[in-house]
Amino acid sequence: MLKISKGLHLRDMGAKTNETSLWREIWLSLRKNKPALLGLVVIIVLVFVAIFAPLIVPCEEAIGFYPKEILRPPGAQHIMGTDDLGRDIFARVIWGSRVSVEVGILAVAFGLVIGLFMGALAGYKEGLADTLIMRAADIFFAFPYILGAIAVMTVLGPGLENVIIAIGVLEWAYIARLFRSSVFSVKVNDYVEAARAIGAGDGRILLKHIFPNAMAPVIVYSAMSVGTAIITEAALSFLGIGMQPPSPSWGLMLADSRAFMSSAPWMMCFPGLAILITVLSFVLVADALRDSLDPKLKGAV
Amino acid sequence: MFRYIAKRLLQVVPVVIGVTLIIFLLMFILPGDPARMLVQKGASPEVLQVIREKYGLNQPWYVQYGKYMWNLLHGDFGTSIRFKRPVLDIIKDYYPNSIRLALVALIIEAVAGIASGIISAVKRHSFLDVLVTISTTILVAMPVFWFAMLLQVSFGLKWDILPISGMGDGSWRYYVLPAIALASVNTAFTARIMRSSMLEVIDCNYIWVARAKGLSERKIILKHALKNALIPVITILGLDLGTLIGSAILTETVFSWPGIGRVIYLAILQRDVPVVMGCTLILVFIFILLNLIVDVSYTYLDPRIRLGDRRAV
Repeated sequence: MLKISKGLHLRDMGAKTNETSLWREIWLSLRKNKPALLGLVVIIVLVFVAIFAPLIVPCEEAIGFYPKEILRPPGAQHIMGTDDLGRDIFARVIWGSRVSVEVGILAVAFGLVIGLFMGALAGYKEGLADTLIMRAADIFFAFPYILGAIAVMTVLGPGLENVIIAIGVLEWAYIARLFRSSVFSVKVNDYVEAARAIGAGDGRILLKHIFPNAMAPVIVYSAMSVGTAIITEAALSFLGIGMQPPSPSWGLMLADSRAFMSSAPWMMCFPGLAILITVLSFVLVADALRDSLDPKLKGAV
Repeated sequence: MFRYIAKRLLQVVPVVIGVTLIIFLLMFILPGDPARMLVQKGASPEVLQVIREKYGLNQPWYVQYGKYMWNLLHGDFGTSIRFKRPVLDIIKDYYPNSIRLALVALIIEAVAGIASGIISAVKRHSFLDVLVTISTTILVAMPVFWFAMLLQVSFGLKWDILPISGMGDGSWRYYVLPAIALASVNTAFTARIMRSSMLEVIDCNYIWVARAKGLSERKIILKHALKNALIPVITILGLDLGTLIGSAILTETVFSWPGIGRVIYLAILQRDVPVVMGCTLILVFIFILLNLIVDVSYTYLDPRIRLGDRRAV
């Protein structure tokens, strides 16, 4: 077996070049697209802010109780003002980025693990596996996303890990459906047939030949769904079943601000802007990726 | 055609069984005893026992499930544990509110989305096109509940021209802000799809022929291009109606709108299984029906597509 795979060396090189060119293509398309580049910079800054939040503001300012500082408007001391418990909004927005970044990345990663596996199984094996997986996925498309998230959250209970699980559990069906059709269109290519002809096994064909070439639509979708996951976390926390107080989740901050919409509008202003700018960055990147990677728009498979 | 529709309707059965089973199992895994939620704190075990027996809560889940499905087949949606009234009555009370709001939102979505999509395609790269592109991108990224709150603060509290909560006497004024909030994200998507669809059609040969004949640009766009460019948009609009009814919970929460999303949300929190089941099933039916209508109407809009053909799927 080892000897045979040495003989496959040239073929593998072909597959690898293909893989690197995918990432090269992504980078080239982002570099040309100014809004997407801006989005990418914002995302990188956000990740750094999330990692180094303790160095920017101490945690106590975000979750403590300061009776003397209640509902201060934005000013020199508190650049975004304070909320009804005297907590600094700026500190809460900074620490809230941790929640959003964690949920966004981990929930989509979770959905990807299940979705890619199921999608590959359905698309590559067809037959019974395909039918079972796709009928199971159909159930997830039969009710609205947000209601599904609410139902799963009530079962699991509130908290960061459960928000991640709930969103991942819903995402897998969308990723599986997308990847399945992508695998369908890739596996009829000659190079897959050629790999099989020289004795490559199913696992090797999937990992070396199908995965790299079928990933493009999933990459576009994932970029978009990190944004969706961040909005969903905020929505669940806003409804009171996601993150729990005193967590500095942006959605929770918006829920708190509802009682002070006219007296302290800054309370609703900044967390909302934080969500908008974050999600917008992911949308811009996803749009650029779609323009360059989507075979339908590019006109070639 | 009838064979196709019958086949599609039969496919509903496994989905309904799957959805009902999942809801039932979820509700049984949930911590919390529905009987305990009905009585005041400190009720005696005997009282709890009576209530459990009355609602059949002491039976294993598959017996309860079997009974529920049997009744459902006979058109009986059961009785709400919380409100002690038939689920069908709750459905009749709240679904119309949701459907009316969704229809108003759909009209906003269609008019605003199609109009701005056409303008930005026809005047490509102009100031208006850039404006439409920027605002649709921002709307897609906007959390609905924050957008709803911004509407409340500006139109309700600051300028005081529209009511910001509830349905009041049911006049149109109460619909404006919730419908705009509900339609926001979908309008942005519709505008984007309309734009790209229009751009595609404008490049077709028959449009060049129309131009060569010397027709006015206005006539070319509205009479020749629009008909074909609308096909993908109509599909989206049909499917969106279901989403607008079912996903309105955030909008309903912000505007205290008495809709079905809120009913389902509260019923989940209160473990009111019959209400969750009944309301969700209606929603699933609406989804499936709209899907079917969209697929069938496709064959009329675009005669190149035949039902049962792989391309149509």
